[in-house]
Amino acid sequence: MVVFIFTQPNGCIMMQRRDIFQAIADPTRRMIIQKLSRGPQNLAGIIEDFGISRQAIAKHIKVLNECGVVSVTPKGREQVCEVRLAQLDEVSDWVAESRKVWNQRFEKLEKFLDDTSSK
Amino acid sequence: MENRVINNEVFIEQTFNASAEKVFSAWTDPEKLMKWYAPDGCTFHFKKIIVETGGQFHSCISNPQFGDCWAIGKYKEVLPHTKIVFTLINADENGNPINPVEIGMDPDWPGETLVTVTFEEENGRTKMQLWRGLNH
Repeated sequence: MVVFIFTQPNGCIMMQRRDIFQAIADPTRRMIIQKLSRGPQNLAGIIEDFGISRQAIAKHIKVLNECGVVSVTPKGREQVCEVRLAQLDEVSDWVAESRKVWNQRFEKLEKFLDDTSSK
Repeated sequence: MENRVINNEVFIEQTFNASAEKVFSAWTDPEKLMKWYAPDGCTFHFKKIIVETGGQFHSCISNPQFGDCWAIGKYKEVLPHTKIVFTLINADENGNPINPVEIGMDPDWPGETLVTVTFEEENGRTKMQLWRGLNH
């Protein structure tokens, strides 16, 4: 599975991250991620907020957990859920930065090739 | 132009209005490399560069604001007009590898990456593909 995220006029970033794709493919899961991005929350609280069955929420949390996006830590009788997007952001930071540098570089290469071919 | 990010890799494809020989030469002739490789406002020079399979380089991008940024690397494969594979390693002025953190880079910036460039000519135009990923 592939995610296309168009971010620039000159092209697109295509993320092939099956796990993340699964994580964000479902609107409820996107809402859970958004909710957890404000801070850790226990499973009971999430279930309450969404007003859908405990079973359905637990299933979404399980998928998010398997995708590595959400960690679930038992704390007493509670299950504390926490989003873990930071690490993924960091990874793509250098990729995005590097891509920017190489794109600029290739613009210059194109210009260089055009300039030398006309002589 | 197409840009892709696959997990932890950079992929860029671009087609140039020039023969594969010319595009390859822009990568392998140090005089030509110096004319396009540096980011805008920076200059680029070499202490050493031998573009052939097994050859090595020691290069420097000079930024008037941030100073010098040295790199070393080894050409693992140089196939005329077809393919270039080299390692790209953050280094110091003496050619010793350095931890990217020491020069103020993000801790997640990999100190060593592998760059693969391929050239494919069709009807006088050349499709160039670049991958940059962790050197496993």
